[in-house]
Amino acid sequence: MFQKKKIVWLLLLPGMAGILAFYIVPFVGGLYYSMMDGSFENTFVGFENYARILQNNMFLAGLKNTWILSLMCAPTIWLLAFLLAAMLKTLKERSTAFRNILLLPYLMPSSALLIIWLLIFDYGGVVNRLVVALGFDRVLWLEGSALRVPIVLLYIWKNLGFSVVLFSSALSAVHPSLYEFASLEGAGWWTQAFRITLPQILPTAFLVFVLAWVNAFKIFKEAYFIGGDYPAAEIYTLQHFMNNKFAKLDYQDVTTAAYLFALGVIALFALMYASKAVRAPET
Amino acid sequence: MKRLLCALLCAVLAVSMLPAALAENAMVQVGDSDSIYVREMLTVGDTVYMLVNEYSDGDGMCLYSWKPGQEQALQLVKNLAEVYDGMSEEDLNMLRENGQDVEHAITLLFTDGTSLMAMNCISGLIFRIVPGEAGVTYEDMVTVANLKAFIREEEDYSYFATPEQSLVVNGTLLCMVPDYTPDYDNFYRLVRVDLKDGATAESAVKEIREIIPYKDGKALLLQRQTKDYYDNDKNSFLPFTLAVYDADADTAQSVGTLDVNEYQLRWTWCDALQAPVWVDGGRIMALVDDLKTTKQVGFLPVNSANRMAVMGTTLVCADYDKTLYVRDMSLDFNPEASLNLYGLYSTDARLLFNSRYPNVPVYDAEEYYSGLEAIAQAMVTGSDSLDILCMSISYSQFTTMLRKGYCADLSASSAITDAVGRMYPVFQEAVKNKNGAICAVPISAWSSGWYVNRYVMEDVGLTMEDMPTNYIELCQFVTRWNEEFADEYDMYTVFSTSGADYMKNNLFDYILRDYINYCQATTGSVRFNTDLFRSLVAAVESVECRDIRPTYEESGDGIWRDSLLDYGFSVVGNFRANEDEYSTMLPMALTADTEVINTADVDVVFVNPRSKQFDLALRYVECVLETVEKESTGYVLFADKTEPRMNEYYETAVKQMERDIAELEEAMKNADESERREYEEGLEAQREWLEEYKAKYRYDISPEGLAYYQTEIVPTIAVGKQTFLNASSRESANAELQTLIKRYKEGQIKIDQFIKEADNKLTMMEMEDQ
Repeated sequence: MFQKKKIVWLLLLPGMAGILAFYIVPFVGGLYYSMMDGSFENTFVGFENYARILQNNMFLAGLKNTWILSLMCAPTIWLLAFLLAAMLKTLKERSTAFRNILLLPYLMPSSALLIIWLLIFDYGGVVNRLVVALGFDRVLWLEGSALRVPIVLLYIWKNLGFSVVLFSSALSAVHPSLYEFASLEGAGWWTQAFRITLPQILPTAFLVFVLAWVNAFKIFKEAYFIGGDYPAAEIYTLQHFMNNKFAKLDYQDVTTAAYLFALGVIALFALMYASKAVRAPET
Repeated sequence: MKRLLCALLCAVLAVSMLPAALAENAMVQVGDSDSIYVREMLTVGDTVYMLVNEYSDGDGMCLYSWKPGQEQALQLVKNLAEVYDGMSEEDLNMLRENGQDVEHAITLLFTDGTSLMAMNCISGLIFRIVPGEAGVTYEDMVTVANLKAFIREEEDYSYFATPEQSLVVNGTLLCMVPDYTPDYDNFYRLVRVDLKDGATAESAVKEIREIIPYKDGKALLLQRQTKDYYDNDKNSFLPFTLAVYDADADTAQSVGTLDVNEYQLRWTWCDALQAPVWVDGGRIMALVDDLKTTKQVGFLPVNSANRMAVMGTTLVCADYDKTLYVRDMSLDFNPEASLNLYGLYSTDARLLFNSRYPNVPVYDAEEYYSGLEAIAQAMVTGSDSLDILCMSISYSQFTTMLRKGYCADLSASSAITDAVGRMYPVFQEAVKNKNGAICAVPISAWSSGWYVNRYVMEDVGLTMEDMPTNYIELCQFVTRWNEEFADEYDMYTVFSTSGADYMKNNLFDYILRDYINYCQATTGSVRFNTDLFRSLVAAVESVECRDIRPTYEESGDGIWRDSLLDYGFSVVGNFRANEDEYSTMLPMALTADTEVINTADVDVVFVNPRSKQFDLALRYVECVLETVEKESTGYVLFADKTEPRMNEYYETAVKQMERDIAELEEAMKNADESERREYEEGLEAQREWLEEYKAKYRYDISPEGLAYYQTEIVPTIAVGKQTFLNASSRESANAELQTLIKRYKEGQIKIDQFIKEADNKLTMMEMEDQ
């Protein structure tokens, strides 16, 4: 096609120019900065920055917290979204209204949501009243390691709806006859969900998983709004590190940290993609 | 022979008719006073005339003239009569008895291009001023028919509103009379006076803000509507409307717009360039191409002008000092090099540089950069990027810029390295990079400290031995004051405070600030989980202060209380030793076991490593250092100052006082018996004041003051670096710490939580930089 219709290249040109200008060039440019000393003269230092950053405790702490929060958020979102989508499928006509309700937090600005969250998790807020009613002591939710809970819950509440929508559209493509046959064979709901539904919607499931994980890396926004530039150690993410370094004109550290993180993310998704390829359903 | 003579004569005539464009760039002295104010300035032929206030040496209002080539302006007349509307006949007679010509008192000065004219606001007389060998003579012309046109009516009174601009066009005097109203319905009204018969009328043209002569017997106006002249979306004023005013028909026709800052606009017409010219931040601008294009045609060695006059293509400007700046203008103005400064406003350095490099303009940056990234960006981008910057070490991220190499190595200039090498070591170290290279120059340093009000101290029966010497003692002293003095001496308070409810927070603020400075000076790292900090906080929390009175109390007409102690005594930058007329300095350590540290706020100047005029920038910094070293600031910074600094006004002041005493003695000889006692008392007071002045004011920096500074203050100086207390709260890290402080002071958190969270943040900040 590309050989026969040169017009295709012409039509692809604007998009490719955009990708070149806004992705490729900055990516390569960032690599260049990560190998400079970051001073006004910009002296080449090779991989010194990488070696130094890998020994920086705050980078390592940020990296660890970012992965922990992602591990808490992404699989939870994936699982909840899948279950909710499967449940909504059973409601048929009424599922649209529920889906829209689930999508509402996704459409609201984070700053507005945070205000509600801060009120709910305040020392005298609703959550602590519930905790006291259950016979426990109040918890300082907005400080220390406990801050992970409201942040993860906020993230899940905000992003669940979008994943549910993706799963719902995939589920609607699964042929009902498969479930009829499975029911006749004695398969229960769980068996049908994980033996029929999931394999049938694997590409979408993979997409949801990737999106959930990518979005989980952006959990910095909520952590920043609540904790600022230097929040509790448990929610200090890699983005905090990069932000603070940027403010100090340490651009070489920002790019170095970004590329190190990118390496990890590429490795993760390569692994996931390889697993998906191995487990692709027979059609 | 005849032909030769004719040719010679023609040549001489031709040269003499050349416009004063041949006047070279120069600076001209006006008067001998230390301070003058040029009220009006205009050109008549080849002469610039100025009406000058010169009160400090007793010359009063004077008329000066200047021609190209003269190094100094010529005083034509001094002590001109100054009259105002409503002056009594008795006052006028007193002026006449002093030899002043009241009838030709100058209220307005203007010209029709060929002669100098003035108007008297009391009589309305308009007259010519004719300079001559022995001063000036006056030729009466006409009397204003209706002075009421200049009168401004207020609710209870009226007065002659002196026009802010006056000019003559086609035999008509046009005056911009102030006419401000509370609702800003109007700013000026244009009053017309016919110079043939004095007939007066108000112009029908409104909303005029500025007026200058134009060509073809017309005037050029700037108009702007009096309301809705601000664009809230763009956050700027709307442009002016340019209009050509026909004085004969009293009509104005719009010809375009002009976008200038109205608060700084001083413009005038240049016939040679056929354009109006004005000064904008040191740039001489012109509206050329038939009022279509704004173009720079020259520059000033200062960045503003109060009054201007044009002679050919020469602009003569006066600012708020005694110097006239004579500058050539050209449509081909295109200097090879220029310097852009940011945050550096030393006029002396600028003038010194201009004297050495007269063809290199120096401009101030027009933008304001709110943060480190913005400044860094401005330093590396654009052809007019910043060449020289001035920053405070204490209130900016200078140390980050130094660390990142944004401050050029200044070692190429031996003058700079020599000068900085002669400074006190504490200032030298603050401007060196990690390799020991000098990358900036300190230009000022100051700090404040605690002091005792001796009058209050003596009145309450205390002595210096009773005064606290550290913050622990200060807290105990506050409790003692509360228990022993607050009620009995309720006309005083212990130190400036808004009252008992705020006392502990006030103390905490002082302690916090000085504790952070102490940590930076000693360990370089701030941490609050220390015995020292906890002991200080414990001292504050144990203070009893419920009876402490506030400094100001709203009761009746309001009660102001003097404080026994206060903060604000100038320590670094002060050469009055440890006390002045009312106060004694009170060095305050944190505890009895810590040393006193005076943290100085230091301003530095550095050069952009990417400056395209690097050598010129170095020369400019050398000029800055030269001027700093000559001032009293030089004694703060330079360690090799051994001689005291004389008061440059001392001799003048003593002579004036001796003259005053002699006049009083003379007057007393002729005085009546009834007045003699008054004269004696006055004489005694003058003599006492003279002796006191001789004892105290011979020096700006006395030998004792210098010695005290060098032996007692300098060893305690530390250069303050930016902390989260004085950093911009826009930097959110600092906002978090400031929020923590606020939460502790408001009682939302205990000190342990404050210490834990603050140290956590500070530790994280430091670990990021490892």
